[in-house]
Amino acid sequence: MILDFNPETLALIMFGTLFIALFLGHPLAFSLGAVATFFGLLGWGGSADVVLALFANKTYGVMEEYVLVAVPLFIFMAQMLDASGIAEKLFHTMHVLWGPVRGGLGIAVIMVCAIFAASTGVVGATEVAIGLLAAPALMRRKYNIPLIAGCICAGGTLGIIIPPSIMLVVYGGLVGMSVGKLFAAAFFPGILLAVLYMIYIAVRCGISPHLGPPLPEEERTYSPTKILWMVLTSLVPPMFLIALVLGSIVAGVATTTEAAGLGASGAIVLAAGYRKLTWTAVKDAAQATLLVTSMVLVLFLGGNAFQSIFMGLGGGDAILNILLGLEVHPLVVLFIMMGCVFFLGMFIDWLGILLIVLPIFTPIAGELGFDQLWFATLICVNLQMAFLTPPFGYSLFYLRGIAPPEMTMGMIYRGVVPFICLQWAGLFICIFVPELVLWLPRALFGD
Amino acid sequence: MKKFVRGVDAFNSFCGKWIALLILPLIFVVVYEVVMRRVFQSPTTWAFEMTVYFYGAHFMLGAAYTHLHDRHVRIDIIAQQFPTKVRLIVNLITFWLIFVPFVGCLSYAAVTYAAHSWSVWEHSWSAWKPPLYPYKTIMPIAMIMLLIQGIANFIRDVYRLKGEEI
Repeated sequence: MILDFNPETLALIMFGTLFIALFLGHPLAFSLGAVATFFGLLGWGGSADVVLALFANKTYGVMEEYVLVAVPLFIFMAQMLDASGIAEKLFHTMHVLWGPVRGGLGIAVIMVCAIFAASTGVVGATEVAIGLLAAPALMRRKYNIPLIAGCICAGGTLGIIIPPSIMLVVYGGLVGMSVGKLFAAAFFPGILLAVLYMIYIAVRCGISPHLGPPLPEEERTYSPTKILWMVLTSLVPPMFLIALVLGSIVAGVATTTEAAGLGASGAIVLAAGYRKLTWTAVKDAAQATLLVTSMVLVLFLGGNAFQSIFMGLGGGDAILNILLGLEVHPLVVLFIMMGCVFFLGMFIDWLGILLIVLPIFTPIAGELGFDQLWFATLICVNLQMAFLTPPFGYSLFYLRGIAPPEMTMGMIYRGVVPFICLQWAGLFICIFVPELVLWLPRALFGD
Repeated sequence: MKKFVRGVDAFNSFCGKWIALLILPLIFVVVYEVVMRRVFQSPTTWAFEMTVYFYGAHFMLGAAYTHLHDRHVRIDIIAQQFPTKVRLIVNLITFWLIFVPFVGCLSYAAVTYAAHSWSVWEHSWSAWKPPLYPYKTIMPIAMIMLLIQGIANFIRDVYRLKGEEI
């Protein structure tokens, strides 16, 4: 052992090194792995061969983790849905339905996002598809630009909390929990967030209509039959997908991975139904899927290496002892953990956070007697904020990539602030009303 | 050197396009198994493992392609504040400090790991009992492809520092 410190010190040094490595701008996966390599070779009692064999073993562990097979399937499903053009149809329908109300178009954005979120499990493709439509449309109607930005970012982020969700799949794979139960637990919290956003938009635009004016009379020319037809053609297909994926899990017909496969094939059928199924579309969707999948799962390799060394050095126990040594109310420890996740969310993406904190926090939550399902949902609701909190937030980046020139980065930052507050509110509700989280999994799967 | 970089890019780009298509047989096998089990009541013995093999080959072999497209997530909020020259120098340093130690060690470990599987003609424990050594060999292949792409990116950055774009 070359670095001869007590575990607490070594854990701190290892974390410090990780943060320096992260901010050098090298891919996260390799930074995590490199810190693991150095500390494994220098600080651990075992020989180099043991450390390397451990890395290879952990890597193979990811390669044979059946639960994670759902990740590429859900990503492909989202890419295929994106190619089918269903987002346009759905947005157009919601636009007509909600247009006459103050702030209606903002509500329409959230509704479209929520429906999409229930049929896919990712953030990127949905947010970009809806953002491309909604940003220009709402700006033409003189909506307040920061409000538009906030709607699109917060709405797009719902994709990863409302089941199915690759975040919950990853969580289940990391901790070894039933993904079906996680889906059930996250369902109402996800809906809660969507409802909070819609209420906020309605109230704010209700008070000051210049933020989100209703559609002018002369544009409400659609006949009721026409509207009904639009609803049928745009709403039924995603509902069919939701029933296929979530339904097959709830009915116990298929595992999560199989449900993801059914969803992916359903999305192909849907694209065919909208006459958008071409070989080019499939190839493009497949390539986009590979880039995201590989990014997610290679990050697993680095994260696993980091965690196995960190835990092997006793870092996990060190943090557990520090937090439990505080001898405060369990809720205080919970808030410390939530604060950590929120803070990390400003700088690291959700997956990096899950890989770093879960192996440390899960045993602590266990020691404190928290329900693991409830705790998992709190972490995932919390991670919604990681998408929106500057400077590093995926949803901000996606929107920046497609924003019209009038929408500046400053407006986007300002626009997400109220939504981050709403997410905190949602998190508090989930903390103090655990039934919201736990009722559905109990009703569906028993205890 | 430039030829090497272009060659590696072309190779990984070509491979990536084919590897991406592995998602299609993956979907097929998953759906096939559900239909066989639920509709025809005759589950297969092989679908479960086939699914995992397609999935593993897909994301592992895609690692180099993803690196080629610079899509492995990185936290560049600080790096972006620096002038291009400083950023390139940091890239060159982190290649030796971060990329080579981890990907190099993992490549070496993966070769040993797969070699062991070959040496004992390792088979799976399931009813289907497929050989595991071909699947385990994917690990070193993927890591070495990634390593080579990293080297190509490094050389590209060296040229960029001299003001040349490859």
